Amino acid sequence: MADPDGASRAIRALIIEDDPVMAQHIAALLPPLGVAPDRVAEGAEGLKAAARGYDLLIIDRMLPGLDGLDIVARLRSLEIETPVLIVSALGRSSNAVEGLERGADDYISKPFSDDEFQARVRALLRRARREPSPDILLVEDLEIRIKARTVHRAGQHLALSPKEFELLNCLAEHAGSVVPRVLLLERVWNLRFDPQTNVVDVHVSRLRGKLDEGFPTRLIHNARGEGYILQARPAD
Amino acid sequence: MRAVRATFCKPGQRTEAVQLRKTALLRFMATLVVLFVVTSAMMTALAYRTAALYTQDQIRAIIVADLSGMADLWQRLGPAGLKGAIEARQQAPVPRRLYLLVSADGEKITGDFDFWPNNLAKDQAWTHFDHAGEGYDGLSTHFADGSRLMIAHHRSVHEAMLRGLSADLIGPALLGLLAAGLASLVILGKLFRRIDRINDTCRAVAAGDLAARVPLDARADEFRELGSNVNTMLDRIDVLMRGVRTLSDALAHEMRTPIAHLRAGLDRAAREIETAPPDQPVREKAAAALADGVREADGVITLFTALLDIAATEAAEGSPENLVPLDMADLVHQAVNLYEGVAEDRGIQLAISADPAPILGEKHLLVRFLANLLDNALKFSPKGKAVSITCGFVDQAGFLTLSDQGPGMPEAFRDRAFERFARAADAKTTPGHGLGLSLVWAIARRHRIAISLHDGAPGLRVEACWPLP
Repeated sequence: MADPDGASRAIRALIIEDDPVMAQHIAALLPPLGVAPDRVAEGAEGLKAAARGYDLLIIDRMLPGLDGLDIVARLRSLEIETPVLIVSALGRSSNAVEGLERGADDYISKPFSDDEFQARVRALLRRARREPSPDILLVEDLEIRIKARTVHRAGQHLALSPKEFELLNCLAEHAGSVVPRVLLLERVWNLRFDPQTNVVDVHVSRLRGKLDEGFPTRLIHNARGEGYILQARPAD
Repeated sequence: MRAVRATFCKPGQRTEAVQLRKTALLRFMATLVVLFVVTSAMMTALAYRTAALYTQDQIRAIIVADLSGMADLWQRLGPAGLKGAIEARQQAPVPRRLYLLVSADGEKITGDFDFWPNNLAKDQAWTHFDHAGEGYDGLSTHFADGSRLMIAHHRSVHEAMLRGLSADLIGPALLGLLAAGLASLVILGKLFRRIDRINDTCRAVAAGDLAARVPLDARADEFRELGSNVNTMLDRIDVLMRGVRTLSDALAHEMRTPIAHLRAGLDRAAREIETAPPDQPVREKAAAALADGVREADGVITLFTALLDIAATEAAEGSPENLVPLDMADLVHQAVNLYEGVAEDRGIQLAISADPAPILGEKHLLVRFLANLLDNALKFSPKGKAVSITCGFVDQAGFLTLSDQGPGMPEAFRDRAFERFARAADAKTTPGHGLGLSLVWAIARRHRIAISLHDGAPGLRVEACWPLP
């Protein structure tokens, strides 16, 4: 599950954002994912451009005189199903719920970390490519059978709790890239807030115990900032 | 123009406001007085009419009786006897009945009138007639020999009686009117004074004296209720105002530290890059300084998000929007699911006894409510002790109890624990920003949950209860 390969066809994203600093920052985060960004600063113009067959739309929630969600609603009513990531300064969890209910595919609150933004974009693109979700995920010597919910490392069966399995599954989908803690909380526990105590850390370290114990390479690592990464590195 | 000025009632425009207001009360009172006058006039007129009919009936009844008595006399004593009787009655003092007896050919035999009134109806019908410029009311009969007798009374007799009657009726009516007017003035004065007191207080508060309160009367009535309601409202405003002031002070204070750290980190990174010798790699030091800066910025963001969440939850208080039927027991399991790893790591035993406890709520808020409480309990629990959670319902109320065996909370702090940025003195070393319980409080209010803190001897016991949906 490396970055999407840009060889077959360039993946194009449209950024509808009126704040030039933010627009530029977002635009710079996309090429490393193999995505070519276009930028529009204005809502009506953005709506017109959005109909032009992009792979991903990144829409600011608060455009001058227009709610970004209205653009999404318009597009959906025109049966344009391009994945939409809403970027919003309205950071409350009820706002995110509202965004998803009104047709957005994902929702990220400003300010966000680069890792979180990239992880969300990656997940959206994978979904947009409509790949049949694989039954088996292979990362290094790790073999995850999604339907059977079993995990083997180097042929050896690992007994994981349901939450540990989901945690590993989420990390494996983003293997090689940082998965921020907030994303894990959202995907595994369906929580849109970050508890004061680092509860994710506890679950990750338990998973790590089962996964890496007795193997020469470690697979789960703490990433810079607030996240984790699944990739092979030699044990210290 | 007028309305606008009345809205922005400043001390200089007081006179106008007073006039405006008093007009309303005066109009009300004037309406009452007019109503009183109209109804009493109508009642007087009705009484007058009844009395007038009654007196007329009385006068006529006497004449009818007199007429039949005269007919008897004629039967018994003949025309001469009748004539004598009439002449005898003419000696009675005025006002008296008037007679006229005429022969069959219309010649006057005796009586008070000179000729038979030509419009006089035949027998037994009352007739008004004029005679020598005066008005009369008369009744007649006739006898076997063709002679006729009329008995009449002067109209003035009836009118005089009515005049006396009117005086009797109008006197009390006027007196009543006067009394009503006086009573209105007294009541108006009292009303004005009591309304003035409430208005004076409102004006004082509007002018900036937030401590002003309406003086309450001893008598429990609507005005006292109004005054007391105004006072309650002012108390609430006072609490909110003080809350806002405390909050902005605390916020400014709480923000200074992480922003100062952020600034220091950026300064440090810039210095490392600037002052490093050209050949020496500065990457690591600069990156570390920048990473510190990012962490501090995240801290500020977390603080702001927490404050926003509290504000949004408070704003939604009382709104039925997004509330769905939930079971607190499910939510407890969900929160425990999140924290059981932490508890196990810290050697704390989680004792759960969750029975169905229906509640109408927002799921993500209630999970957060439980997570914050659980977070707190675990944070302060010593190793090897237990944290227990119970929920269920009795009668018409759901309940949730969460107790730990930690150091508990000083009683003095328990009252302030839900305030923003409130942290017990000995908790300063424990991580946290002092907003967790404020959010718990806001979520509790959103769901009509009554939450209270108790001494668990040892530890802290949190009790929550809510009306079942």
